[in-house]
Amino acid sequence: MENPKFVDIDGIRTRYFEEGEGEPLVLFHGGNFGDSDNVDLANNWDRNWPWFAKSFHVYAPDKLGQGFTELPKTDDEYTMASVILHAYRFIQKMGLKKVHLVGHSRGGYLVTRLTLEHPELVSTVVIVDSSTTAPGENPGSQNERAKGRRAKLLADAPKPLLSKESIRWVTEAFSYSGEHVTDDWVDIRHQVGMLPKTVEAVGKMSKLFSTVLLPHLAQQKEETLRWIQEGRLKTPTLLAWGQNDPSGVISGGLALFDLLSASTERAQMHIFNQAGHYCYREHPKDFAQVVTSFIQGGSRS
Amino acid sequence: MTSFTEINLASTEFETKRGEVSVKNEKFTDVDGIRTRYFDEGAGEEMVLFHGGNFGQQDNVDCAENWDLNWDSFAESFHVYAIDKIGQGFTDNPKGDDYTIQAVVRHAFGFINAMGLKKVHLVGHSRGGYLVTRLTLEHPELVSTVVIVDSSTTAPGVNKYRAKLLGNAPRPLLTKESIKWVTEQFSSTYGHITESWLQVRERVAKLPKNSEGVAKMAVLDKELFLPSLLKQKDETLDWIKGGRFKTPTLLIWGYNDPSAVIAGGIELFNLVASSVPRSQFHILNKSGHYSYREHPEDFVRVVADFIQGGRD
Repeated sequence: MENPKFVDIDGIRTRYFEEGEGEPLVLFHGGNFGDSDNVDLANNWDRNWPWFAKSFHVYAPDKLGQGFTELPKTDDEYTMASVILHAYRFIQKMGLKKVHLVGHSRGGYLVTRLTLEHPELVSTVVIVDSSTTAPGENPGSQNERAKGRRAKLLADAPKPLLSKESIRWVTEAFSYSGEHVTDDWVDIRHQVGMLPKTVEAVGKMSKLFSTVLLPHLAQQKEETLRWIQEGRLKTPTLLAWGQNDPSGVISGGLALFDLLSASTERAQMHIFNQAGHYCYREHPKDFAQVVTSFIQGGSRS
Repeated sequence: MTSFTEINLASTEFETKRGEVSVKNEKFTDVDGIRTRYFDEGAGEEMVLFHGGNFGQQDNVDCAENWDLNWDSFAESFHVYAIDKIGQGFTDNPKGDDYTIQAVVRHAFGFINAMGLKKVHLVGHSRGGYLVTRLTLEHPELVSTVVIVDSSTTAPGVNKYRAKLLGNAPRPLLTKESIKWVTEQFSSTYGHITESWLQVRERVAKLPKNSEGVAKMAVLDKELFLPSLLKQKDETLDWIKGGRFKTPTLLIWGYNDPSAVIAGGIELFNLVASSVPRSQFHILNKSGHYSYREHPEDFVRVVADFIQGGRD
């Protein structure tokens, strides 16, 4: 991925990449602003990028407050709703009228919610290893299992956190094989980890995570799942999941598929063996092909 | 390729409706004394498709035409073969009383040899999914990739659903009406149940050799076939658990399959994933037992992606 661009989204300087020609496809990475132990950004998609750019006009932004995109302006805006609004405005700013969406982990929740709020905008949606979206993993009262699992997984992360060594360790803990954890990817994430704005966000989130982000997310997620249950998600939906994801576990993915399948006519799920949380990086070409086929199969029929 | 006889039967030329393709140009070959019907088309790496069911089914008919909705798409990328399994379709019955799973697997292997194929991609549905699994375990050097579709025969445990599902099939069985009803029970959507597919299955059902197969199996199913299958299946699953299975494997399943239920597919995938490094599982919503017919284009693309993706 080369030549990052910047665009102003409601006063938020936002970094993104774009390449290729064809129908627009927008990729949303996982995590959120102020993660204390990990960094996610548009470069997460670097192993899929050339494959997607062959068939689509593909976009990948750094989500609000992540990567090289600016932080939310006020403490009240450290919410998933702000993240989703920022994503929506990004799509509008790019002038896109109809998009294919792919979202990983927290980004999977983002694309699900965006699709429910703006169904007219979305042709197909792909949700990848997202316990944030899966039922029974509610970050409100039912969050203990999911939170506990992630916390346990990363408890022994080498200190200081967000050093290159620590980021590598954390990513390997999320993975089936560490092969996809390239030096380039670790370097740029460490670089983001050292930005003053990242340090600021980590500081803010040490408080706002449990007072603002999680309560808002829990409430909104309950509504999101209810909407799905009520049959509001009609958009063709693909779930892609790593069989060995130690965090967004496969049982959650299957439960999400159970929920979707009742009302989403065109719903499919693809499970990759020997793949952890970053399944799109562990099987980059297979991932891109499965997504491409799902999208193209849908527009053809 | 070995010699075959091209049969000129006007009745094999089914009308082709819009959006429907048909398996054209049937051929016959001798496989260890069993006259075997098959089709082949296209150029490229060889792929062999095995339909489900078995000889002498009293309530249903499966044959190579099961793949007619996938055929042209597969032929664009592969040299694709589809046979009538031993005793099914227009292929001869087993000799004597050899109504065993061993005879089915041996015949499929014999066919691949008769065609002179050295390395194949296998796709098998239902009982055919078991066949390709076993064939791959017995002859790993022959198989590049294997695709198992809606196969409770392969999944751990026994199928508790099929008998109940088809209990009220219209009598007499094996009429076009009854076959249609049975196929609908298996399905989530009905668009794939085409007139031409029903016609060829009815023709098979009326063949004297089919009636003979049904009569044989009325006795041999419980006495010989099922015991042979269950015993061998135990061994097959033990082999997989023991890590003998290394061939890249794709499972494809209809989420709404009322016979080979999705829970069995998940269980099978967990087992396969524990020993097969390159293994993937694709689930299709709004799809019953004949998932490859209910979503023919998606099915072909998922299979082709899997086969071609192994290369990077």
